[in-house]
Amino acid sequence: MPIQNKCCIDSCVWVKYAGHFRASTLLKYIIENNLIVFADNYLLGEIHNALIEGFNFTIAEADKTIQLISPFLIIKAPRNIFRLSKDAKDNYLYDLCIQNNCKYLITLDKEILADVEAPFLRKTDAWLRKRK
Amino acid sequence: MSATLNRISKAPSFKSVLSAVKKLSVEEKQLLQLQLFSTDALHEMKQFESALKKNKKAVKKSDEDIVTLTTSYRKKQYANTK
Repeated sequence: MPIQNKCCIDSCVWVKYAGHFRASTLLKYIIENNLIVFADNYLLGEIHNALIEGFNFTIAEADKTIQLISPFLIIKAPRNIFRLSKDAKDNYLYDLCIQNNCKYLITLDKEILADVEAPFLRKTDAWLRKRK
Repeated sequence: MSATLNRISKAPSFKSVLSAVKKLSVEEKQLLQLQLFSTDALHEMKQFESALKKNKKAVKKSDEDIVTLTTSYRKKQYANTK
């Protein structure tokens, strides 16, 4: 078995790629980097909503996008335990990473990227491109 | 087709593969699944994307705009759960 790299990919990264019709590129990075990617229904809900509101996807198109990315994810039931993020709204994402022992969180959010106290490494999607 | 599947499923090697797979962790199963089926899944995604490109006008957004978009929804959801 190749080395597993557990991570979470923030909804903004998924939306960036899916909204610009490039989700397959992100999926390719996941395969090439042997990434085990965790998600929960909150995260999928954010992606779904942002595609509809920000990129004019129909509900069916957003549904199909979620359906097509799901095989590349391990979807966990959300459990709120820790309150470690600087901004309370991000607690669920931190919980998702911590509870699944993720080494990385891939995000575009500058506030999360700047949080040096987070118990995982914060990276942008550019880091994924470099790794492959 | 079903006869072939039946023959494969009865082969000792298939059974040993199955029992080995059952012992894998969730993460290992996911990696295996990616190695076995990702090409098909990726192909399906590409087809869907090219259909979207043909039928939809592309909306360009910067990284900051996208973060604002997802963050505002996250804030709303968080406010609702409080």
